[in-house]
Amino acid sequence: MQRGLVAPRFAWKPSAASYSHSHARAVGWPLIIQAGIPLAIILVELFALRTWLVRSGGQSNLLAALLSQRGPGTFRFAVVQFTVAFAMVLLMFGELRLAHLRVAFGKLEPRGVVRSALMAHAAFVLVCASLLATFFDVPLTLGWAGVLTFGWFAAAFAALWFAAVAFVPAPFWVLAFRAVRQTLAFAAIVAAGAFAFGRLAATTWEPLSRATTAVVYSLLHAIVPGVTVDPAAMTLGNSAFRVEIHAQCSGYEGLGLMFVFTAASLWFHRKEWRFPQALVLVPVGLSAIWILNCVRVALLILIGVAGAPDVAVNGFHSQAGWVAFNLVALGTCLGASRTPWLLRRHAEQTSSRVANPTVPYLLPFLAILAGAMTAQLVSAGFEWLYAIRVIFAAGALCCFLPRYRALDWRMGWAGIAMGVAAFLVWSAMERLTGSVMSAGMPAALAGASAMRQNFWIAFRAFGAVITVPIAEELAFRGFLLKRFESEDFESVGWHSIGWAAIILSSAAFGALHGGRWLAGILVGILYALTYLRRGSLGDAIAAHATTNALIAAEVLVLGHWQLW
Amino acid sequence: MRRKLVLNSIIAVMLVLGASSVARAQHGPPSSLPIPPRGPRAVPEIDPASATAALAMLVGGSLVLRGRRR
Repeated sequence: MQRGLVAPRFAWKPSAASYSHSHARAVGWPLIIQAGIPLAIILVELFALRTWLVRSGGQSNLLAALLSQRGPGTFRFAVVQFTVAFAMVLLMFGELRLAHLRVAFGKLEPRGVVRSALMAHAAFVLVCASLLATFFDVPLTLGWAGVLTFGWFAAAFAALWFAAVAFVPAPFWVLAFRAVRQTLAFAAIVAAGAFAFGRLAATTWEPLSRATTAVVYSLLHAIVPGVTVDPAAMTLGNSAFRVEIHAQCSGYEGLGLMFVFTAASLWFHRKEWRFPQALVLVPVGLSAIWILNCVRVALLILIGVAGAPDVAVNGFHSQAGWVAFNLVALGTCLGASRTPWLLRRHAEQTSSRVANPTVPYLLPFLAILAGAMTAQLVSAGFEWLYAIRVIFAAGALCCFLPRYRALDWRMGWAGIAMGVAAFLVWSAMERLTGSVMSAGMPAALAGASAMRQNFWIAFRAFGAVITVPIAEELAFRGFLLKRFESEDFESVGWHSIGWAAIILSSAAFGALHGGRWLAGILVGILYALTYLRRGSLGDAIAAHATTNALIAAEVLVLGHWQLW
Repeated sequence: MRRKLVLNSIIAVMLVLGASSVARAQHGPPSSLPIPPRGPRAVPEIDPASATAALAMLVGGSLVLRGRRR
């Protein structure tokens, strides 16, 4: 048995048709470095740029003011809406093109660095930095702000391109782009459509808001004493708690997202649907999401009237819309997959008795997400019910114990050592951003009784060290790492997992960590390497648990509570 | 012509995503609507601050639903 750290490999795939895991071959560190360096350079530069902006960003001119405004109707809000819609389509349906992307990676060959391209990259990075300094330090007119913005984006694109071709031949990027261009273009078009739909709806939101107000009032007036509605101001509630059914809560945001979801689903899986019957999913989904939004507003008022306005506003409102959207989107998928009338082939009409190999790997992780959403639904800023995440995850894990016995659970010192290394990376990144050192215990927790504090800390630590590492490693290393290699992920041997899968699964892992995305990507790569050392999921879990245990120790001993 | 259109679309997306990363770097309170202590309260339907977990749930749920052995 090979004991050393095995270098991950690119699989050689002359064409998509002849791709087979048995054709995998090792290509060594030169190729790994070649592929990893441009990514690392871009990540470090992005991180440095972000840190610089956070520490020095002024608000002196028009552009800075435009970017810093928050809330519905602002440029920033519009960008976030577009990004969410784009990411949703890409994440949901981009995997259909992964086989083509793997072909591009398979044709990558080792090559030296093109120094002229590297110098051009450095030059364009400097141009970007100087333009940014101009944005934030010099008062600008709208026209000049536009010209400089265009110049900045052009320079940023050039910097990206030259970094890419300095290390990897341009034909590879052309091939990779061809592999994903349709998905990217479709995601952009759908997101732009959703954005335009949202803008259009924003100008005609009043009828929708009036309808929402009427439905919510009819739901509430029999059970809430003293509930009144003000049609002119579109406010609803009683003397203790009132909400305003304004543009952003009239339902059109959910309608827009649901439209994106169903349109993308119908297009990407068009070979599976029977048309025109399948088009009925659009009105069904839109109606369901609007009705659930009415129920959401009614529940929000009920919570506020019941004496928990902070929970209603700070917890329920930020989660309930997404809970409703997930329920409708996944419910529509599930219902449609079991409706022969909508499907072209009877083979697609799978029943619950058919084996589903993804469930044991993903359900514990989804249970944690569901637990988090549930806990935050009823929180007022601080997640007191964190224990729900642990209980949900433990329950899901218990359901599949017999299946997990078949996995490789060997744990060794290498895993623990890699966990320590991941902790050092995580800790270094926190210190680079300067966001952790001054944080104390959250006020809500500090003000609680000792027993309540200990109870919360015990579940938080148990979750961080036991349930979260198991659930996340099952999902990201046990499933996603292999799923990026093949749809039949269970047939993928750990020997044939390539860097494309490592980078993509680690990117997904990093994205899940929000503002700590870069640290998440780096430790994700470390956990993947730990798993690939000998194909043991136990090693990856040991590494992850070690990292989380050290973070928990830093929180509890040194008081760096922002890490939690 | 078609290739140029697709390329332009990709560039536009990169521009918007780049702007998003710049916007996210600014100072200010966490993304949420200002909530007055009294009076009418605005209630956002889809809160971008919760998008990560919600999208992860959506993608994971979809993978499970489409993961049945054929």
